Amino acid sequence: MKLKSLSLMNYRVAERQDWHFEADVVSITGANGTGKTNILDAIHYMCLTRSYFNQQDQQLVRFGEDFFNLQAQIMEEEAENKLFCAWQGGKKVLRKNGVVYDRLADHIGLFPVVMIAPTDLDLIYEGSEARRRFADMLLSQTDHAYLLALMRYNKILQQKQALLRQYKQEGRVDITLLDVLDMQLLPLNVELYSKRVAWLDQYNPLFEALYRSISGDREQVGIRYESSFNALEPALAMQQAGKDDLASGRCSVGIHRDDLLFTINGHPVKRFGSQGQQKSFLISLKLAQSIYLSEVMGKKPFLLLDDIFEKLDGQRVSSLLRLVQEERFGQIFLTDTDKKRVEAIFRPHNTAVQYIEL
Amino acid sequence: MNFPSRLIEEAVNAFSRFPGIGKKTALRLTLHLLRQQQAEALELARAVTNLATNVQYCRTCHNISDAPVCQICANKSRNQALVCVVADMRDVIAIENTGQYNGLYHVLGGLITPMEGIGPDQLKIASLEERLATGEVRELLLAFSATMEGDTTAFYIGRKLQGRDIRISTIARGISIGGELEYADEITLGRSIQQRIPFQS
Ligand SMILES: [Zn+2]
Repeated sequence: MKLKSLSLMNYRVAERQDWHFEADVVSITGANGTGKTNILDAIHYMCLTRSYFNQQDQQLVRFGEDFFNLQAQIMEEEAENKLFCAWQGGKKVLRKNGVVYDRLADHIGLFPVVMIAPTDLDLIYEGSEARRRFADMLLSQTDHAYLLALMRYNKILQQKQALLRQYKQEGRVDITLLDVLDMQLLPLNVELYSKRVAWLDQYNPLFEALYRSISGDREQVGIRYESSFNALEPALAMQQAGKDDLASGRCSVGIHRDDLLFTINGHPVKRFGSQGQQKSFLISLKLAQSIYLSEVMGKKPFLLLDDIFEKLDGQRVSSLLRLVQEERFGQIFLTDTDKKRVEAIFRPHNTAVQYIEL
Repeated sequence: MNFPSRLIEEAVNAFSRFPGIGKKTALRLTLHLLRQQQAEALELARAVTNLATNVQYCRTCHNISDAPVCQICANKSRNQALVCVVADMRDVIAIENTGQYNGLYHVLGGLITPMEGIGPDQLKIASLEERLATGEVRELLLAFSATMEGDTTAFYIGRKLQGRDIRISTIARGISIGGELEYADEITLGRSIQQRIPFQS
């Protein structure tokens, strides 16, 4: 999978940009505020039809404009894929080789991508939603059925939440209707829960191995899946929550409440990991994502590295470079404020790098 | 948009309240009316007035009707034991156009959508239960869109009628006629395989 060209129009800060990419490693350098990250985010958008930074499409439109569009040309073996995506007035259209997608979901997973950015620290420090999104975006790329089940789950859940709020306000309840919604949620809970469990079984060893090779440390790291269904069967857990949910007006049990607990030597990395350990943790977490996607899908994702070299010490940088040399990753796009730093990192390794300066 | 005439502005505002009609289109429609013979515009006005003042809903099936009981309900040659439950009048028209259905209807007036404040009480579900109390109806055919709201409404009615001696069926879902298998989405295709039917040649 090679990204050959990318055009941005009114995408965030970019008015009009056309880029051509030739190498397996593309370095984009420039001062802060020149729009380096923007290019990476546009690649992310073309692959997953959304910004990495969890923004609404409307917020991505350049100030003073009312639309944006993106174009990309991706080669897979000999086959050329031309992608075009346009957003205007709340409507999004995505075309592949001239054919409009009926459902955007059908595009997700065709061109896998992994992004590493400074905001990843949110994964450790923010609430559970960020971690669920991490897992969901990964699983949605490898398993289309997962994505469809998740979309369906979220839709039914919204209806149930609306109903619980209404019942709490009005003080009267239609148990039959709640039952009907639960009946539809149950199989989705079962499916999504078991897929998350299976994913972590496979993911944890990959992640641990990467952490060791990146950090050179001996600590034991891991991801523990916390779910209402670890202790109780989904049907039983949902049934038991019923009364409390009516009292609180919120749906307290289900995969929308799941969390991932990041651990180091069995303790939460949030409180027990040093800054350096947290850095290694996050990078390994993301690189494991890239390797997991390659293994499951049989193609190497685009790897987008936003401004990570400045903050990594020599040991971690050279471990990362070794993995690049072993061809564990797909095409890499990286940003940095300092071209010299990037040159110094890659020169000894004899890696062909395309330099773009903004 | 600024208009040279209050009359034009009023008409444009009225038209632009239609779904899918913006100010520009509303202006085009207004100017079109002005270019026509006055009689034709008045004819339209009469039709609108008639519609607004004389429209009724059938007291049995809640379909739009010219009389207290609609033509379909009043037609004794139709199968009185079979009732097709639909969301709104457009569905009645669609099913009538197939020429394949000879039973009666029950128009709910929407589908259960709690997020939009539409629950069973806002729909004609209680009236459906009353209608079944007479015992004349032997089968209900649920014909809803294949959406989450359609499923919820169907399951809800199913639950409400549990234990009654009545057959409940639902329209089959699958590959559209003339549709190519490879382009069918996996949910439709999956369901078509799960609920496969004996081959008839
Ligand atoms: Zn009627």
